[in-house]
Amino acid sequence: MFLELSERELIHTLTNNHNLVITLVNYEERSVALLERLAKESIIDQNQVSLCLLELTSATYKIDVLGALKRIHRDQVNRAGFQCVPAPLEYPGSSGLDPLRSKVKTLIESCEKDRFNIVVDISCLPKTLMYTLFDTIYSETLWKELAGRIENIIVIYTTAGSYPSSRYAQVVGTPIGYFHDEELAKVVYGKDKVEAVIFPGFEGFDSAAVYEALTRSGVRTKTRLIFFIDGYNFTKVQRAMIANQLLIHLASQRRDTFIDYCFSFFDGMEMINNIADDFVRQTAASGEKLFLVVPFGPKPLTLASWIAYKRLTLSGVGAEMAHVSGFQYTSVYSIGKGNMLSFQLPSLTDLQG
Amino acid sequence: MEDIGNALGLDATFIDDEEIVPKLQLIEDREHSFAYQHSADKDMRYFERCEMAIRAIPSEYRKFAWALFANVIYLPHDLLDCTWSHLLNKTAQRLNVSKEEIVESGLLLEVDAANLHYEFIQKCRIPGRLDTDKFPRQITTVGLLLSTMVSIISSGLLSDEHKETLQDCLKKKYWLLLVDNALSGTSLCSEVDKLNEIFSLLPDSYKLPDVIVLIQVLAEDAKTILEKKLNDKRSGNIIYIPAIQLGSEFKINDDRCKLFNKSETREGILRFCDWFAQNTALATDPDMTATKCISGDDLRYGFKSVGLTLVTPNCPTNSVPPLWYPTIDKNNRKSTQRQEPSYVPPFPRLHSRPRQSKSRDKEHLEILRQKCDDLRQKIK
Repeated sequence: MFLELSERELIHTLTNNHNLVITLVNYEERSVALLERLAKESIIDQNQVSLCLLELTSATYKIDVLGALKRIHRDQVNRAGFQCVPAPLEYPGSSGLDPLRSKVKTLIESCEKDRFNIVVDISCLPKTLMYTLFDTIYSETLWKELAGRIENIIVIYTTAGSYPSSRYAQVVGTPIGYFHDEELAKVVYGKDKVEAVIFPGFEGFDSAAVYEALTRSGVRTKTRLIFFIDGYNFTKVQRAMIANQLLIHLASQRRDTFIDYCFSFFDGMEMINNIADDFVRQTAASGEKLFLVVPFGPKPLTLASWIAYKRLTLSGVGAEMAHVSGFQYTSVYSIGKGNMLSFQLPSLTDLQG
Repeated sequence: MEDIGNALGLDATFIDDEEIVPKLQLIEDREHSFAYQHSADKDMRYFERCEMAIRAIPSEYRKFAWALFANVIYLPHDLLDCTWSHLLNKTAQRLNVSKEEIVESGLLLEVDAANLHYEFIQKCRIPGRLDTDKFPRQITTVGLLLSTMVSIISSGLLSDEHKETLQDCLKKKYWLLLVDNALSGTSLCSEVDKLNEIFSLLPDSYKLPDVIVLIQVLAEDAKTILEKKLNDKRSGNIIYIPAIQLGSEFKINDDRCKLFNKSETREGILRFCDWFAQNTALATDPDMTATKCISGDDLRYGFKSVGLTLVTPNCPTNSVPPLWYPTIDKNNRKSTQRQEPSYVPPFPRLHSRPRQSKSRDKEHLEILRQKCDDLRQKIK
């Protein structure tokens, strides 16, 4: 289903086709890592790239210092000289979702090349925008119109160099079912059984809130916690496990809660894919059971969770993604840039099974 | 009335400074799901085992012992088992071949015969465990490979069968050397040396396999010496892939250690380890003499001074002894001459090599070196 690409494979894939690159530039250094790399190292000809540059705007939250950083990054992109369609999007809130859909559709439909790659840099993309973006890319109508012109869907993720030490309490919302757009308790109400897969985050509060909402709903739930173990940064792993102590404690006490571990994004992607496969096999298309994906871990796992959700809904199996809205503008979100990873995603036909 | 807090060396500031509560609780919860298998009393919770151990040491070291026990890196079976499929994925990516091809054209070897090849096959969901052409049962370690080679040149009854098995192995493109812990690196580097020796004995017509060393837990000390070894041009066909790396930040006897929030805590723990090595039965235990001799010290910071707080299903000797060394043994010998209460560590180790008896690998290599032409002729 997924393929992790080595640097050589990525370059090979990019140089052999035209590329529709969709990326979001913000105040994080890693938000321009891909474009910087493509431009500086002359990996591909500039004419091989059509760029859709997403940028978040907000009437409510204006933080000048972060805005200044973002301008620096945007100027950097402009200087790189790629043919670029700017896409300012209102965020947070849902009003930016329709413009995102239409910008992405226009970018894809207006491409004059016979065949092309769609390359999405998800490094700094908020989850909700990511869901809408990929929902647009995986639209059945779009694939019919394009009739096999999409060569590959490539996802790029640049890890953070580090994270800021100054973190303050976040504003946290109620756990909701994102696609039902209602409280989780209402989403699971009346189901025979819920199978929840949680990728715990580094803070712990979000996963605990979802778990509690499920427990309070009284619906029979089997929960799997999949911890992302960065074997090269075990200190961070210990921190994340301590942050999610409540869930680890419950897993040690309850017979319906289990812990699994993935050691790379690719492992995690395969894992959620296999779990979704098993769920489809075991569940006749029925509205009585619900597969709930709860991705609070790193972004590539959030994307893999969305893909699992999409596959299940395409198979007619009940699925939903839990979401807890958070808010963090107390510092930069990340500092510097780490490694750039790339994955090839399945085609719509693969998703449809 | 006894002040329990003081008796155990605890105070609120210290508990807060070193985050004793969440760290201990994490280990306790992990243990509740996957208990340490060699615990002296299986019904005792982690906190209770720590408390019992702490009561047996002088009061000046007690709070440091709490910090040490709270900072244990507890890696039970469930977590370690998940590393194998990850390592197979990584190998496929590094070699740019499919997992299926690696399995089909791969020979599984392991360091120290710990049944890792069986775990690997199970956890990677590889069918055909009993197919001997796929997984030759006679050759699961480098040592067994050597003894098979020796038996071929000794022309015994089994010579032909061994020859066939060996030839099957030599046809494999990928040799996966499975390692649970590479902490000091001693065992692993010795295996790498033996493999290089074996390759030098083979006829030139053999294309050497790609050797991939798959390591569940790799510590900084082992990484340093392993990289040095692999930089040697003789090891050109050998690479390593670790799942979990424990760098110098996990080594208590290294200034870069980041396990503890206050430097005084680390210094106190080092003093506790010094005391433990000099004043408990560890100082005189004849069962530990051979191990100390190879380690080149009194084991105060673990075998070869690796200085970890790592606990795997059998606590490694490279971790500091207060975690695993009981001052009284199973035969109920007197704990120490000083009549102090016996110390039962939170993670008693089941010793795998108390006598440090030598394998016959070196002897086999010597035979093979002497009869190299004979060997080449027979497996041509």
